[in-house]
Amino acid sequence: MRIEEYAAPLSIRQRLASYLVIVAALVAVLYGFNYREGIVSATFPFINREAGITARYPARWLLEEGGSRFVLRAQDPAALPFKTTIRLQLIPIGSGARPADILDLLDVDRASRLPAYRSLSRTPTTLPGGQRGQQMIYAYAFIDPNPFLQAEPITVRALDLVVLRAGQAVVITYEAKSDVFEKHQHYFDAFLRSLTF
Amino acid sequence: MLKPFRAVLALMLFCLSLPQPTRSTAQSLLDLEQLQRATVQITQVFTNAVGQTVISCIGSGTIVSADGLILTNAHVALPIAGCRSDRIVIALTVRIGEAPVPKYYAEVLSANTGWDLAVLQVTRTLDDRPVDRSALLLPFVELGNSDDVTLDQTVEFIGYAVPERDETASSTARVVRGTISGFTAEARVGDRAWLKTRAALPGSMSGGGAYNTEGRLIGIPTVEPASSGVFENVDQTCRRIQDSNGDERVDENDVCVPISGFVNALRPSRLARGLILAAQLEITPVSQQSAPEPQARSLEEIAQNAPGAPQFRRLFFASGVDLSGNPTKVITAAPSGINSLYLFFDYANMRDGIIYELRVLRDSVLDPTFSLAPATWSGGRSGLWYIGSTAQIYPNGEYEFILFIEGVRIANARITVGGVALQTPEFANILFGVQDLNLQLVNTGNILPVSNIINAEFVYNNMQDGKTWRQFWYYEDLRISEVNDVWSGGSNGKRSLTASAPVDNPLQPGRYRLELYIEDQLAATSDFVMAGGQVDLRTEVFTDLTFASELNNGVPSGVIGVTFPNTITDLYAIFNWRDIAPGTPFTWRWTVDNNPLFEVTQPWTNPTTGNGAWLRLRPNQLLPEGSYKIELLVAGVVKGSATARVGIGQLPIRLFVRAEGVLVQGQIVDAETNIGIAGVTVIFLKPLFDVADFTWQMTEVHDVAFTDLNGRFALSRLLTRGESYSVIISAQGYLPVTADGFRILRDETGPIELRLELNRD
Repeated sequence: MRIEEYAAPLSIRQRLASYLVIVAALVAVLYGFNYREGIVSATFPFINREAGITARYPARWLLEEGGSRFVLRAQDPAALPFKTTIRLQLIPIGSGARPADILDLLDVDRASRLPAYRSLSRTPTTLPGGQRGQQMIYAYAFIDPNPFLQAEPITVRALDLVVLRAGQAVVITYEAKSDVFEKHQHYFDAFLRSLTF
Repeated sequence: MLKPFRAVLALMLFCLSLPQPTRSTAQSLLDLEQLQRATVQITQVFTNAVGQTVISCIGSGTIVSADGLILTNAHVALPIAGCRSDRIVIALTVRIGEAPVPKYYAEVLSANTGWDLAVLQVTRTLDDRPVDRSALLLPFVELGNSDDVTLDQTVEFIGYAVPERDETASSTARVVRGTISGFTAEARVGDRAWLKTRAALPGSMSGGGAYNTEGRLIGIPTVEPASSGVFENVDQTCRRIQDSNGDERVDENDVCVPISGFVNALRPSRLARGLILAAQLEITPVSQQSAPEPQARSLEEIAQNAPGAPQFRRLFFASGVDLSGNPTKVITAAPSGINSLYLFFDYANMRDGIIYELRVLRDSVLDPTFSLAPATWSGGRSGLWYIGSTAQIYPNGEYEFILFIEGVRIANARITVGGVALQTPEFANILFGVQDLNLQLVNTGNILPVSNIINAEFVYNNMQDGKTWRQFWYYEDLRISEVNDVWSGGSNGKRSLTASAPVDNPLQPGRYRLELYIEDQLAATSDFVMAGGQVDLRTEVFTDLTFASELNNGVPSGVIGVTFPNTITDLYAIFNWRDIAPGTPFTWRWTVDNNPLFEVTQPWTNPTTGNGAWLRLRPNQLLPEGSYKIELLVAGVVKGSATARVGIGQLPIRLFVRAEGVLVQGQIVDAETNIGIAGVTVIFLKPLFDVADFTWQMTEVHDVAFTDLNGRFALSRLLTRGESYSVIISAQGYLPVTADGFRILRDETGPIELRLELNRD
């Protein structure tokens, strides 16, 4: 037995309706994508007039202003298990200090405080604003300070970026669990792009 | 559709976990879990010649401040006796019922070997990194008033011990309920030098805590290892754990970890207050005087009573003790129902920290109620000592009191308890003093000014005229006078005695003793000290007591007077003295804002008369603000005192701030797998903020906690009762949970345990 099918040609109206559905779907996808991007990359402004520093940090990150310890610390509360952190601190320096001296200082200090601390590399760097400095990548084991919790040490990779300005070293630090260090670095890059001092 | 439903469900579960009033009222004030978590295991270790870590001693301790002060026995923490050590490991009770987890190293900040108490400070993590004290926030207990403890009071004892049901298991923080069965008196400390219990407490609980029903620390279970380790039957008194000398075998040449017998005595917590305060203030006392410690003697020398070996002699019983620690009345038998009995004895060549023990046999059977398990000596080198029991009735029987030093039997005395009180002749209550113009005894006590006359009086009862009686006078254990007499004063009353020396051979400053005998039986005795000079009717020993912030070549300098700025780094108390014989018991006592700080008794080692003796408070940095009082005592009597004010003259308020509020802890689990989620952020906002107001600034946050491997978390700051908090729980890959109105009821005792399920995003 032979069966033959014939499709009736679409009317212009039907064809337009199909195109409209496709376009509407595309628009919805684009809107959703933009909306998600807007949420994910949303930032809040940070202004510290006393230190002369402005920046934008990721929205819904916990912001702490630490007085003498640091100017700013923003932590991603949702990051598991280590909280990805961006920190900015100012260190008074003498006229002869170079960025490498500050990194030496940080190196010695951290070696005595951070378990399994290892300095990995040092390279010259330039901030998006054009300031030249030095950056150091290091790693350490983060251990929850609460002795009553069962927590494994977490390998943390971190980056110190040191730039000098009049009488002060600006130390910008980015810390993340080592396996998401690069994946989350866009937060840090965006922070650097927005940073002015 | 399902995910919003799950989120709502999770929120409902969260709200259901809010504290309920019924639970609060049902809870007891005693939070045993918190007390167990505040109990630590203390291990002394050292590194041997081949680089191995060797365990030398193990005991218990109790955290008494959130920043890591730990109270324990001195023998648990100090490298004494068989406990060679170069570091102290602190293991915490992380999970109740499980073995402790070593977390920190600690250092001894203050200790009293005589009382066998020490206060440690957590200083480093096990990987040798310094600990930030202010960030520690450890669970801790508060000290109660041990003077309020009553007979038969219920007490919870907590310390580390191997579980009874499995001797091979690891030690865990054990809770034992018991009662206070009596009090043991000891010279220099008083009637409550020890609290006694009949509870069966393993020796490893020594150094732990005893708690009243309010959960406050009222005593420290204390027992010494049976001997210092080098003695026969050594395997019964210690445990060999490892090859400590690296010769690849475990034998008698390896370290033996001492094992204590059962604890039946507690040091009252009041003795620890000064040590804890000194550790909090980080102040160390320094004395210009330093007496050489007697040389340690072997057990064989002690047993053979070799010259220079510690010894006890002249044992006798008394029914009471006067304020200066002398017997009121010597007795040879006691009537039925007696509830106060003291054994007195002379001691020589002792040193603080030596282990001594009293075993009381009743009808030849050991009676632990009246015995004192091995304890450390606190009386210094030589003198008159007593130990006894108060508040509990002695059953009738033949008693034998046996004294041991370092496990070696040294002396014994016997007494019969039973029958009715007999009306036998007796002398009692010897009193010394200075006679006024009316020949009345004034300025009575056991310290007399140096002169040629000694005046004394005593009470007599049931005497019969014609009975022979004698008086013996001693100077520094040397009999200097003996008077034999026939009684002619009637049966009851008070009698005066006068002893005098020729003008060309005056009495010397020093320690004297009067013994009164009725026929050949010692009836009464009392020691006194002759020191200083008579001014009006007073005895003046110390003069020109002053303070200074510095001392240059013995001359006060810097700030001198009684008011000091809060920038001084030392405080000296400088004084002159007259007529104190070397060896006279000299006590100096520092208090701050009327809180005991230090009390040290030592033999006087300076010349008999002189100027410029000093005592010093040495803080770690600056001397904290406060009113510092120094008291100088001779033979237990205050003969000089002065107060210096530093800064505003009041201790920093932070010292007395106690953590008030409710602990919140719990677990966050995956709703599907029911497995804890690690790394979840738990944010409690300050009461002023709710979730809608929150702008992700730390200034709006009360506390943040992160979950561990098992999804467990614990806030490090307590929540205030009566306040409402908002909570945000956030984790990547899961739907966040937020809630307002987490209310802490005013009568909530806590801790509040939360359990929350998160749904995957």
